[in-house]
Amino acid sequence: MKTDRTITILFFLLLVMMPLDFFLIFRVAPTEKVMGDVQRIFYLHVSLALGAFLAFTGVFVSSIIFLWKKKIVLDSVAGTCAGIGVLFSTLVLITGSMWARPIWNVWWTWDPRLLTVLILWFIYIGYFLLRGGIADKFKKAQYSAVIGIIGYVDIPVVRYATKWWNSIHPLLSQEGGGLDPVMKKVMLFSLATFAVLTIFLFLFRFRLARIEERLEILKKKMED
Amino acid sequence: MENGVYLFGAYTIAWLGVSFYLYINAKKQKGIEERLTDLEAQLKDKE
Repeated sequence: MKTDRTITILFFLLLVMMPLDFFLIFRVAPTEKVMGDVQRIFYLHVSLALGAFLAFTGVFVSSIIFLWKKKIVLDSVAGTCAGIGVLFSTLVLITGSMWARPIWNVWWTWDPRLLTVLILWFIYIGYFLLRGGIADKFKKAQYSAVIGIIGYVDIPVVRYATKWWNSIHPLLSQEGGGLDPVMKKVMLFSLATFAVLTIFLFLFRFRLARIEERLEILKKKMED
Repeated sequence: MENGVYLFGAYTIAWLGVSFYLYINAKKQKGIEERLTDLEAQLKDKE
């Protein structure tokens, strides 16, 4: 009941934040001099990346707590977060590619940042393949937690890939002063909007995971 | 607008992706809730 109310509140909050975010991105943020309007993809691309980061952090934290406390509900939390992380990282790869085509003249290049994000994507696709392949609930949760924790090691590698290796990927946060103050404010609002969207999607999907569990229990009761 | 097709393409794909995710899960939830109601009724009858 409390979750339902929170979902409703977040939904209405997003109804206000989303159009406002679009307005800020397309009407308020200045046009970048070199790249032109296509640079506006970055507000979406970076915000999706933040959403993916939050979701994968959720997998990491809940997986650690699961291995410690052995509570199966934490596996549902991790699975839900991983789903959102895969969704957002897929969209990060697609939107990045759509920016790269007019700017770099290619859809894809084997840049360290791009490669590490692709590896991250494959790790979590593997996470779901593993979950689908194990019937025993507790074993599935245990193996998933291990993959979820190991997979998270790639996150700092993604973050510092542009620093550690020669990368052509643009830097946003590291140089700080490079962004126009208005662009910075629009970017911050966009990040906040996508953080709310991530929480909304999590609660929405987690509610479904709980209903699925209830169905499993009821099915077992019927069989008995 | 120069390169508008890439800009609007990226936003469209992203929002279609999120909407599709919500649609699939909402549909799944509806199906499971119906199945739950059926099972609960069957269990009541059994008792």
